[in-house]
Amino acid sequence: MPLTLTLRAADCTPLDFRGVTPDAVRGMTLAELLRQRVRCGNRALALGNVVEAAGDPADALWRLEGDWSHVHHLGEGMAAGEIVAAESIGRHAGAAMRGGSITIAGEAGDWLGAEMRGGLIRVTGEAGDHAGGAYPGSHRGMRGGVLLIDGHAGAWLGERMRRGLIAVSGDAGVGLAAEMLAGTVLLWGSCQGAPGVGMRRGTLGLFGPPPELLTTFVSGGENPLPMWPLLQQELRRHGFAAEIPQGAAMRIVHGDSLHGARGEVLLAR
Amino acid sequence: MGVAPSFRDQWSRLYDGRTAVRIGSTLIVDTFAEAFRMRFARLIVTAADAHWLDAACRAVCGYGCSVIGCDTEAGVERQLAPGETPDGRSGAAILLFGFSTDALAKAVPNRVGQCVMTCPTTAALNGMPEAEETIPLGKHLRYFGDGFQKSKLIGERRYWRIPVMDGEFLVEEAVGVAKGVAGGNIIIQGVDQSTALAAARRAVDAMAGEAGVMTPFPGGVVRSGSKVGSRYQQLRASTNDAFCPTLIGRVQTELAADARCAYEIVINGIDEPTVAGAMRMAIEAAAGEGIPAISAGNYGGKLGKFHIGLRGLFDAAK
Repeated sequence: MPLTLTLRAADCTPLDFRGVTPDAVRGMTLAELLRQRVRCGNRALALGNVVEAAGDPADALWRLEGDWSHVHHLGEGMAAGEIVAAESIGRHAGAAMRGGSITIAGEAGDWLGAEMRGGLIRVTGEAGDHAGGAYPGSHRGMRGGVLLIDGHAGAWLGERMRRGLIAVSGDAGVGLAAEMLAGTVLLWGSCQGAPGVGMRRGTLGLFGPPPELLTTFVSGGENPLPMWPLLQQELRRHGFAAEIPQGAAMRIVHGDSLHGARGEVLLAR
Repeated sequence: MGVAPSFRDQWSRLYDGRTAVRIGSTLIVDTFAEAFRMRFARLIVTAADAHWLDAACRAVCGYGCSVIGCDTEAGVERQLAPGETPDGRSGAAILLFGFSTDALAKAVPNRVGQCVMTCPTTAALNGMPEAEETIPLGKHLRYFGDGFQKSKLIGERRYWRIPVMDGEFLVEEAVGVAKGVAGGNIIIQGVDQSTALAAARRAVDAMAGEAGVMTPFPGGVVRSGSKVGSRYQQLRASTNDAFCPTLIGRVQTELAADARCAYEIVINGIDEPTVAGAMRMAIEAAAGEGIPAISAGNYGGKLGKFHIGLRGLFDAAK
């Protein structure tokens, strides 16, 4: 039986759910769970003071009812379990997560899946800045897992990403895949500014309007790539609707030349 | 020289009328096929069209008949529709058998590197991702990319994209290895060569496309069945004289009285029941007019772990 969580108060005082994840509390009783401490503004409160809970934590399946957009660090560092949010969710959701899944039916705040290492995050709406990105001072952003965004994404999507798959149906802001180390970012909408600045390796598939690439990106050939069907199957496996243009030859652009030109930007013709 | 005819008489006494299993006029000899435990890998090869798929399959399965003299026993398990392959193209599942995982670890990358990577438009993928044991494939072949290769981790599986002259060769990092059964066989005895050949082809056709089995020899048929050992010390195997029609009278023959030609069909498979099922299928297809007997090859039961009795195949069917 899933655990259903509903916020008690409608105020916007930020709540910090660090350390309270489905896998961390699955061995607890409901009463024990509600005694867990969470930050509410500048105070530490028992979870029971801020949410109403029904169900059993043992299943490691949480259903979040209502708007949780002022609740941050949800699922941060989780290694297993599932969180399903009926509406929006706050910042740092799924940051550094290692496994399990987070499904967000609304919008997600900044730092969604930042430095995540595994698992699946699916956002039906839009995501804020730094999704799959790296925290300031960190060498690497997302290091594994899958991040799927049906709407638009903010700035610095996949910044310093090292591994994993990001797919965005909509547009992306500036700094897309900046200093990308490896991994795959697919974007069906448009992106602001120059994508892939400083990228070392990795694949950036841009299927929307042609982007303004820096002159340090070198145009390559046009070829169909046999890996596309595999990526498409992976997206379908997660129920992601956007289709990679199949059969069409891709224009390959190598970059960033200032960093070895081992990365690739693939543009649908 | 009176010994040989007496054996033929003995054969007649043994099999004529004594609780024999017959399919039509064909006697199913009460003997067994002796099969061996081997390791196998399943490779999925895909290509842009049937022509290049066939070319790749022929090349990668070439010189892959018997581990007596080849590095692996290789054959096409079945053709795969685009919907069955990871990359959505036409493909084929190829089974490669070796005595050990180490032997496969040498042979499979060699074969794929020389026979699949070289073939236009192809890709080589793991046909057993669920296997507990794996051998490297793209992990070795990637170096052909000379630093321009790229890896892509999709789900839990890593692929290598090696730049080649027609685009990219996509190869999976590793392929799964599992325990299989090799050396299941039947020996079809015909009244003449053409009748025996037709029966052998019926048998092979009956098994074609059957999941979990393959026939490693040319066209699925062996004419030079072997026995263990030789009077020449350097040879591990030599002709199976008991089934050679030209030696009737010189050796203790195991050919039926009317038989003048024999063909062996060797069947490797993923497990004993699958091999046994394929043997039964082959026997049923081969039996008929002009095939006085169908037998099987064994080594007295001392070498192989699996003894697949021919009569048992039909007892189980009942």
